[in-house]
Amino acid sequence: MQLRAVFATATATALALVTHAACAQAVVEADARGGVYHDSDATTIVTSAVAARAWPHERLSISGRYLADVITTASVDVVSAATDRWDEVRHEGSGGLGYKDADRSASGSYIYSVENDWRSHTGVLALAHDTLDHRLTIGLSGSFVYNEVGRADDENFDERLLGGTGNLDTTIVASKRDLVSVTYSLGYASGYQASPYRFVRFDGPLPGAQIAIAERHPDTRARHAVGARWNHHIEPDMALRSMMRGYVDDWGIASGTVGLDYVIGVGVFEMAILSRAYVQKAATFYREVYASELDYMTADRELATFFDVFGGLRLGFDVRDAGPFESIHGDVLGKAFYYKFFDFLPLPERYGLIAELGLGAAL
Amino acid sequence: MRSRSLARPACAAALVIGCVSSSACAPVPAWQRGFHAKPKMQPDPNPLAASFEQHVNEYREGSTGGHGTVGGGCGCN
Amino acid sequence: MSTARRIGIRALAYAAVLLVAGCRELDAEVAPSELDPHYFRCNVEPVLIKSCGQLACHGHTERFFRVFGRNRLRYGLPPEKRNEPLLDGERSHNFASAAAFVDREEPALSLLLTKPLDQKAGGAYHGGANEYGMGDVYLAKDEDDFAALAAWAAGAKADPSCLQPGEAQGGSAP
Repeated sequence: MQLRAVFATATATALALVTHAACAQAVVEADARGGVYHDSDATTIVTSAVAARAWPHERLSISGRYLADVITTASVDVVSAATDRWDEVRHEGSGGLGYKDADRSASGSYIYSVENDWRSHTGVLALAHDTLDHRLTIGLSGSFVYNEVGRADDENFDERLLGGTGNLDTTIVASKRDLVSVTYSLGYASGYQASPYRFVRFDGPLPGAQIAIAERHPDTRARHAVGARWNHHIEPDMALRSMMRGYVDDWGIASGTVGLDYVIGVGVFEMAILSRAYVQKAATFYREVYASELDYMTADRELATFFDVFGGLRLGFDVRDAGPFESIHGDVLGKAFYYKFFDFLPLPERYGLIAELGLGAAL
Repeated sequence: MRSRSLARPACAAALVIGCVSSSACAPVPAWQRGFHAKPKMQPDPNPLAASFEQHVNEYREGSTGGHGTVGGGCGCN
Repeated sequence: MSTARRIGIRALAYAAVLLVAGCRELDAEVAPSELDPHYFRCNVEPVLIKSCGQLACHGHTERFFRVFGRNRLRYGLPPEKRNEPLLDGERSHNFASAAAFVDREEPALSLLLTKPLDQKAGGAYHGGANEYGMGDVYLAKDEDDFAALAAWAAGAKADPSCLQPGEAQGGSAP
């Protein structure tokens, strides 16, 4: 029933795209991407996605996407849920409409995602306006997500998590070689935010015999992030793409992210050297070992103190006017990553690889 | 101590916003924006690839947001 | 720049950060449990030892919910002393372990109640029920033992005199 809704969303969008593609004036883009994630914590995720966008009218676009994640894991997370292994599939379907004229753009989309113990509905609205002779773009976007949280094999577990985000964007042509953008994001979530599978231990009356308690997270969470991007062109055909982000939330997490990609173009080919680093301070209520029972307790390593670094290479091509196609493009990407957890006993570090293959065409 | 550690990213963000705002005052005429039209200079040249990356990071890190949501600025709408 | 101005700017910056980050107190210790130890000792602990504490079930050190009981899981006692009366520490652990599975705001949703209750009667997923394929520990809420657990979670109290000498020594030996 849930899967049917995902396919209904994706199929309706695909039908609309094909119908419009059949019209003489239509322009259609289609992309497919597949990726494999594997880490030292016994987790493998295979992700496949197809996306398409059509312009039935010069100013109007319609888009759709279908994505599937196949997850196999025997992670320490699974052990803390007293299970041996999880295999699950997540399906996501989305459809959207867009409008764009010389100075303004607007878009709206709906995303439906389902897995065996989670179902979510997301609505996204975005507006952008170019000003100062197109030197400055100001964007405003918001999303609302309604999650139904379940528990595998437990028909009586039924929780809700509602969330909303707002983003304020400015993108500026800083010089003929530089494009800079700054984004502020405010997010708020209310509802069940723990994992129904995880238990936390704390010291009990007997040494060595700890007491277990179901993970308890606060019901609300307010998040603030400020991100900046700076793309700098280097002649003849290279670019430095950098980003940094600062983040704080009212759970006490503070984090910083920096990223730098060096993109080199050679004719229709492109090579990018990718790098990213992230460092995070733990949530206020996170403890490596709980000495006593607290109001909020977690075994979620994503709330611990850690850093991660990613490095990789992307090779791509983009051929214009190839037969009936306006363009054909594709890329292969390989990344290695390393996480160092400073206060998460079951997993002091994690490393792994990500490989992706993307192909697309515009007609 | 807590507010001191939080002040650093906020100051860094304020610095970036200040630099960006002052840069906007230097006009770049449309005929000098050829570089900005290149895909590698776009804020989000490959949305599908970006969504893969964002999914990997947001699932495994405690932070979200701060990513650009709209493109533009290059006059190549 | 004058010192006063520098301090003023810093104060403003910190105020802005605090406004942004919020200042909730999230790591407070919970208040001591108000669950009644006497009712537990007389009516709940014997049920837990009898129905949950088997060595293959929650009488096992690797289980999140762990129950010590006579002739079952013991704390540091050799096998030949397994039938000794429960130690105070073991009783304290049983109480704390059960209390941690009680939802103080909504006692009826406590894992202590939903786990052993069959899903058809409104219970939660329980590995034990699946393992033996005979339904969960309690098939209905009106079973006496379940009612004792539910009453304790809801705040029932017992007179300390419920403990008669020689009785309730950690449940009868199976």
